[in-house]
Amino acid sequence: MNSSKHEQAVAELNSPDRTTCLNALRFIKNNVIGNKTKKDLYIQLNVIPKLVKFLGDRSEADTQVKIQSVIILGSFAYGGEENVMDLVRHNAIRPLLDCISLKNDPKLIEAAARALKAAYKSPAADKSDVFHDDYLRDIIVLLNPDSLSPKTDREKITAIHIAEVAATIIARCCDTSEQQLQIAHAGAPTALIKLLTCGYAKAQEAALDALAFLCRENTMFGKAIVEIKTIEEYSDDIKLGVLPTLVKLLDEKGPVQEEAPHVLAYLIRDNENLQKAACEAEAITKLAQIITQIGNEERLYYDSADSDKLKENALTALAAMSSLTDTGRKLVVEANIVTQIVQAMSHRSYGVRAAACQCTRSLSRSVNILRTSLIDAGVAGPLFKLLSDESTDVQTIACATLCNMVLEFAPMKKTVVEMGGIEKFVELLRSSDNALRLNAIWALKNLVCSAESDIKEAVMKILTYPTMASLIDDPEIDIQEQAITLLRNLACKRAVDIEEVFKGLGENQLMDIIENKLLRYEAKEEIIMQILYVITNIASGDERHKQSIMSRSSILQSILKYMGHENPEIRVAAVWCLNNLTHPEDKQIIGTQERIRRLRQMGFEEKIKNMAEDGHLDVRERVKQALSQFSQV
Amino acid sequence: MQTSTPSSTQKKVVARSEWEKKLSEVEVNKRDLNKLVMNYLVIEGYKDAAEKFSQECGLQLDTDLESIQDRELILNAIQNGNVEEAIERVNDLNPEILDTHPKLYFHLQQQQLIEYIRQGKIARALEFAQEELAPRGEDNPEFLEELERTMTLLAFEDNNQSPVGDLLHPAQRRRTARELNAAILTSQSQEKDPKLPSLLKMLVWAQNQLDDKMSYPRINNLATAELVDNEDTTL
Repeated sequence: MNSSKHEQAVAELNSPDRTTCLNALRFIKNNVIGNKTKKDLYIQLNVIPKLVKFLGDRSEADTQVKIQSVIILGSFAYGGEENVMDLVRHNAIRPLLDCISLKNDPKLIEAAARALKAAYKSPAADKSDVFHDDYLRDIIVLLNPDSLSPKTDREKITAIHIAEVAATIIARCCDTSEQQLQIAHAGAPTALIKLLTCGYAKAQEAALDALAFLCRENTMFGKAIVEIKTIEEYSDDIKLGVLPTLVKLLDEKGPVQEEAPHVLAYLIRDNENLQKAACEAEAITKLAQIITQIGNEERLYYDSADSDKLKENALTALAAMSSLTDTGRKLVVEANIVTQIVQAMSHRSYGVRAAACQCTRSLSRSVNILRTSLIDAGVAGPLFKLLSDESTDVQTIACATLCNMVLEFAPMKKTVVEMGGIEKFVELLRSSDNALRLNAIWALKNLVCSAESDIKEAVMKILTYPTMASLIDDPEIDIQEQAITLLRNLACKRAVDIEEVFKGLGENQLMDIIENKLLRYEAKEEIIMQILYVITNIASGDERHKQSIMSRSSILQSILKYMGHENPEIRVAAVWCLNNLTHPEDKQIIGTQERIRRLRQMGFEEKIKNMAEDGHLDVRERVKQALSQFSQV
Repeated sequence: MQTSTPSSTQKKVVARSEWEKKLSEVEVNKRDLNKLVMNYLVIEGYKDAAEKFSQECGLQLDTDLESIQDRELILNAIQNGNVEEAIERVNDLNPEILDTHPKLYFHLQQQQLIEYIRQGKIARALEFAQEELAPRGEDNPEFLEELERTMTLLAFEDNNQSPVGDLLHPAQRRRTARELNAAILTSQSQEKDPKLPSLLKMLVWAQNQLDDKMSYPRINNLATAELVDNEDTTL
């Protein structure tokens, strides 16, 4: 072979002229890539030490020379076992590892990583170098394309390619369990799993390959890798990808159709985006069809229990889809299915009843739908019956559903009272099931919320004040909270309502409750807040009501203390108490002046002045009102 | 009296008017069409055209223009017979490609040999074949046959007479360019085949299937997509 031009190229590597040297490198590179004969020829011409020297030469700041040298070394490594042995013999591996440090030019990192990848393919290359110094850490850093801070599209592609090659290097360095251990401890699994989501097939493939090698014959790592949670932040994307297929499965028959709505409901629960996506995939229409069809079959054959589970699952999916968005609720109404949902609340299977009730609950979150479609479908009767269901689960859901319904919709309050709802809720309060008790007190609380005095009176006649007092001290903290909120709602708006509470509990017991809670329950903020609003409501009453609060200095001290609470909502509530105590009204003008003087003495005004710059707007608004009221006297 | 073979009596005949009516009922989304065109331009490496087209129809490019241009330059070099330039550019773009695709590398060198012969550089061609291609043939016997076929070019004065004259056709350069293009695209995690030709292949296949069953106005020329009446359908 005519090798004179190749000899000349090797000789030119010694040239002091940079251009000559670089051209020679490029010439050599384009000759050896893909060409085994030329690789062998150049190795015989002893080019490797010269190339290695370019890499080691720290004063040589010429990155291009280094890049071209590394590419040639990498190409040699593709020539097979013998060529790799030549590289090892000439100590080329360490200098290559030095090139992959982040401080270098990305193009140099890319070339060096490729060369190492090719070299490590051969068993001839000793991989122990990787585990010395910081090399392993350097490689793992490269698994994250962002660590190179790519800006242009081109730089991004380079960064992802480097990550791909780094993953392959890792895959090739997992020969022993000791190596697997070191790589895993250095943080490779998390970085590899993140790389799985990059969207570039080649890099994803390399990451999977590396993960496979990391847990080969190593079940412990296998388990650990499966448990890594990095993938969770992408789980929405994954679920969005799965959704359309899942919706299509609703058209299947048999067990697949039966299970599909169940999985769908599970997938989209508590996630508005996914619920919207399911709506867009027209899942509601399909589910409505399923329910209607089963409904028709049930009318024909009385004993078609086979489809009970499908009906239950379809209703559960509808409930999930309409739980958070009005869009979902509207679609359910438009699918003409509300009547069937209401009917299903009287189904023989308790699973179907529970699912139908859950559906009603989701729908009732829209007052509009409650006012029209649900009422038209005669929801109250069947729903009310479920409060006495043999299944506690069904009772609990029914109770929760009624909670929604009696909150804002006055006619529903009346209906529930007329049907004996108060008696029923009070009865459920004696249940042994805490979830059911909680829903029952919740329902009573909602029932009296913004209600007329006669409804409040009717509730307390059956519940009784002593029972409410004992619920305020219930062992279940959530039940306490609801009972206190019930007290707050009772003492709301009208002086006559406040007077009722004073009569019912007795002034002393009422003030004791407030005093004790404020002193005792600093841990549970919700309770403090509700108590402060009980005070706020009482302080909106007449002179006697205000005076009874003023008579307890420990309550006043507590209010002052909570004005400095870290939770802004509690600060707002505390300032509300003060504002109602100092609110100027014609009839109470003398009392108000006296209260302002007394509170000023206790340091309230000073405290309020200090709060004028509070970080929260709501607090500042209330503080402004308080300051103006103090300034009147 | 009319006679007919049994097979033709079983064939259903669809008249042109009915066929056209059926075709007009099929809706094709404009955006999908644009995407198909864009996919073709990007994969085939028409950078300027892809850029203009994306501006005109408001489609976003899902790849960067620079990388289309890289391929365009490489493919143009092959089309112009400048194999050496193409190899240098591929190695600059990604030095792994030719080290990991021996067959592609052989085809590039074969193309180089063809170019030498085309230019009448017979001595250079012989030297190149001996130095570069013969060792490839030793490594991979499957290449030998192709090498021999290429060397046959040297035996004929008039290439029109040559049994291997097709190697000098533009189609040969296109074949080489396409193989190189596919390797680059794959290395970048991109699709390597445009969708449009597959769709047309599907059309031809579907028509062939249909021919057994019915007589209908057929598309014979893919470039004009003209419906050609069958004797039966002109009725």
